[in-house]
Amino acid sequence: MNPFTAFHRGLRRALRTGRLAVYAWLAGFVFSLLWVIPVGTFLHGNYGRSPLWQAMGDGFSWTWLGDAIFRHGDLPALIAGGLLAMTSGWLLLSVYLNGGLIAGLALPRRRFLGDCGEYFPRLLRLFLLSLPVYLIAVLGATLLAELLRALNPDPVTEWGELWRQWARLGLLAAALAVVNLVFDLAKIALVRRPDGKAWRALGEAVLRLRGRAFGQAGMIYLLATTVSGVFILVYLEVARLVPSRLGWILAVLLPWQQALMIARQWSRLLCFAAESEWWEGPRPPAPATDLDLA
Amino acid sequence: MNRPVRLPSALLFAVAALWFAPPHGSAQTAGPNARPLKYEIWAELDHPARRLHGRETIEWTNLSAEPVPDMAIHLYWNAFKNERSAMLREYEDEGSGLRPIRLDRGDPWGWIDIRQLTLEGGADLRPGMSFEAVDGNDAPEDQTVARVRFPRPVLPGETVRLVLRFEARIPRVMRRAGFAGDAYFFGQWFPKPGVYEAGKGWNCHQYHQNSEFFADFADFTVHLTVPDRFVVGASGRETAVAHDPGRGTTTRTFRQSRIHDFAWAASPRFVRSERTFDPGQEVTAGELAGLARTFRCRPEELRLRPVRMIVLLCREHAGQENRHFRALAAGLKYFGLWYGAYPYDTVTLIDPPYGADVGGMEYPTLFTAGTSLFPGEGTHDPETVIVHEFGHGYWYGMVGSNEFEDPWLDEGINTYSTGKVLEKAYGPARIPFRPGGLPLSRYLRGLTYQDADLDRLAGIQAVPWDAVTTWAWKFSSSMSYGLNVYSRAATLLSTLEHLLGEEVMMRVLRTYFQRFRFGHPRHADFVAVAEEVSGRPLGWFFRSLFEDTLVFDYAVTDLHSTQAETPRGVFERDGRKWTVTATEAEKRDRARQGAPYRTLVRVRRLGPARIGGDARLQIRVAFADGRQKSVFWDGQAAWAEFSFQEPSPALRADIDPDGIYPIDANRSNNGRTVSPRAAPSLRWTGRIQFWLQNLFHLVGFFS
Repeated sequence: MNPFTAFHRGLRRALRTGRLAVYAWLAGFVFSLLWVIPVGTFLHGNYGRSPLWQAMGDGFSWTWLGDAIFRHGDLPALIAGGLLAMTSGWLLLSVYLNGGLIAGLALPRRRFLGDCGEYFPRLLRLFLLSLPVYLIAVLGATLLAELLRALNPDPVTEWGELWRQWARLGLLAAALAVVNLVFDLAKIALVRRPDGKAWRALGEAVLRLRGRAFGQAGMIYLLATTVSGVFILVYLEVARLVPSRLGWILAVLLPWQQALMIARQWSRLLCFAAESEWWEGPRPPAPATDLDLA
Repeated sequence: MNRPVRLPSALLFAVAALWFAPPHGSAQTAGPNARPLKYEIWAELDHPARRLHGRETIEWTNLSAEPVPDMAIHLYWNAFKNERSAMLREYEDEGSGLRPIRLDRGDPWGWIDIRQLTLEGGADLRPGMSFEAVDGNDAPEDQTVARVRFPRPVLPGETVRLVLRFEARIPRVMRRAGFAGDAYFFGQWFPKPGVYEAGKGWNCHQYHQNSEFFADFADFTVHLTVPDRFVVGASGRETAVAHDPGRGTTTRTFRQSRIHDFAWAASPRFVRSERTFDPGQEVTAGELAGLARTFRCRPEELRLRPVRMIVLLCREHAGQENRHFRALAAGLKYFGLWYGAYPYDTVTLIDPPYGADVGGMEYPTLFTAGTSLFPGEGTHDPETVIVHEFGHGYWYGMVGSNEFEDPWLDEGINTYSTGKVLEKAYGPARIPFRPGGLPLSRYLRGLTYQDADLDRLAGIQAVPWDAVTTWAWKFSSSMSYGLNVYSRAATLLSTLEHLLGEEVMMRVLRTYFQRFRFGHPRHADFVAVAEEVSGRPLGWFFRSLFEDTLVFDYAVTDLHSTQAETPRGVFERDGRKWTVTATEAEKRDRARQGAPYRTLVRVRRLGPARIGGDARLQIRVAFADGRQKSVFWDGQAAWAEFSFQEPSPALRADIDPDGIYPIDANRSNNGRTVSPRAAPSLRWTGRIQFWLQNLFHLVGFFS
């Protein structure tokens, strides 16, 4: 299917099923809230009566930050551990939510939580399968970047270094995007497969991406990523217009931040929707093989 | 400072002077402005071989009142010779894994050899030359300090002239000296005597990981020969240029008096531009008049001189020329007005090429800075480094304190001064936020800073590690050296400014500059000037905050405000007893409208450092009716309690409400409100949650 047609159809499907993005956002909101409530309690308990902290309501105080580093210099290990636990927990929750999102898009009349539970085991297997592939992609991109570095080991201007950084970033992004695209399609295939076999779904996705199909799916992925990027840029441009006074922040900025989070969840939904449209669409004829010729 | 010569010593030296004939030349009388040194150096850059061939004459006059038997000479570049040098051992000992050298790109080593060393027309001193690990560290093979013995002691007032030939192998840039591609940086590159201190001998330390330099003021004449295509920037004024078409080289001669070092840089890729700093354009009559009032002098005494500003930029930074000149002019203006006019004719700014790892470094009348392709509007990058390194022309260049033994005297005072100049000339700065080199600072909403903010943030962390007055290489780590000498010292000077008042502080620094310009002051000299100018005893301040590792932290720990109640219980008067019950007391309290409130404030000294002298800590209480009351505390005891009877309850109490002590390690506890406010916690909790959600979204990519 033409990628633009798939994207257009996906857009309509994502708009129809926008509630799924709200469910995913809500899950993320509640999950993150569980972690920040202790932080908020800690801040309020330690600094609630401090006029310096109260001034932080309207801006930012380097003095307060210096104090906090001096007082709580032993906390970074705890914070790092907490972040690791949080992100691991979120990864699992995210795998769980994917079942509801993909099934809600791909299959008619679904129940979100029911789908999450139903597809979690098979999606978890696929997720575990994806981890070494991501690792290999990162290592491969890093290796390529190092080869590029060897071409110009001592750049004499900053341009040389910038090009190197941008090339490294581009390689890494491309490698991760390709793997992500393959596993996105594998998830869609897996939800549709009655046997629920992760390996087979992955094989199906890889086979489906041969030849021109890779370019089509890549274009869809790129379009969805661009939408997400546009959301972030719009957020940043509006956010910097909001005055940094407490009233404005509570009334405007905090809701605006959550609007971005919903939009980002929706752009993820859009990506799945467009990929599903493409997956379901007419397939290009498979390239001729020796067997066919025989 | 020269010590006065006492009579017995003078007689002794007179006899000695008759006994020994001067070796060469005639003895000179050292006047008050006498400089002990005069250099003439011929240096030729051998670009293909990465070598420097040099010839040098050193004319040294013994200004002390004692005969001097030897001379200690710095050979700094031998720090780059091998991993047995003190500097590289110290890097290794620190265990950070950081090295100042890159061993992965060919042969990076550098060294300097003295090939000939004679007294002019006389004795060969080289056979008796030896290397000394004068600082008693565990690098006995270090060759950064050489000692030569004279055939007989040099008498007071006598001048000797040494003739040297030296050859240096130029290292891949290490500690701001060496080559990077076809760019060369020559700092600490020639044999240079230490500083002779009467009664103590030569002050000539080895080249350490954490140390800079110390030398005597001198008159320099330097002839630099480089390939024709090289653009050269050097200390002092260029007085002659001679081309040699046969060899394809150019020899440039630079002269400068009253400087204690000479540095230069050369590269074919520098773009050179010059402008004149014109005080008539830069300084208004109003500014002169205002400062004249501060310094209690006539405005004419503050007038500045025109200065030739020379900027050598890398080609890709040529578009930032205006930005560099503006920052340089700001330095010339404010340092000149506040401390004293820049006395030299030129100042040269070098923009080192990318990857040279040179960064900002100061030398007399020349410094290196550094910028990026997209510095971004509103950031103080590269302005901070330009103003800072220019400022070293004052604090190090002219006030030649010992960077080995009193590193805070130049870095601390200069960091403080840099912050003041940037604040005056530019205002708050944006955080330089350049992911992937792109200038995105505008998205860091509201995140601006003044230099003093960041100095305080960093400085208070270093208090328990080492005293500020520790000798440079004796700090417990490079981090401790950096934070104590730069950030903590600057924060302490901000504290001193608040304590004395801005105008008094300006007078302290101006007096210190004027008194020790072209001299070698010590820590005690600065303390003496501060006490003299302010008229206040400040020994406690320097002892507990500079010379020790004591944390300074005063806090308001309790604040209660309750309306005075009718006391309950059994009371006696005129032999009669009666009981006030709770019900009766409440009834009376209701009837008694407007009863006063009793407010109790408890303050504590949480750190071991305490104020002293005539300093007092203000404790200010704000009440609900808008009135404020202050009391003062000497801050000696562990805690103190103050009570107030007022018609309205207290809202908040602050200790040091005017922020006189930025060095206080925890200013968050300097104030306390009766009721907590939830809104700031809500805002930041919301913000942290947003960051977490974004992190989750990012991580969710892998799900």
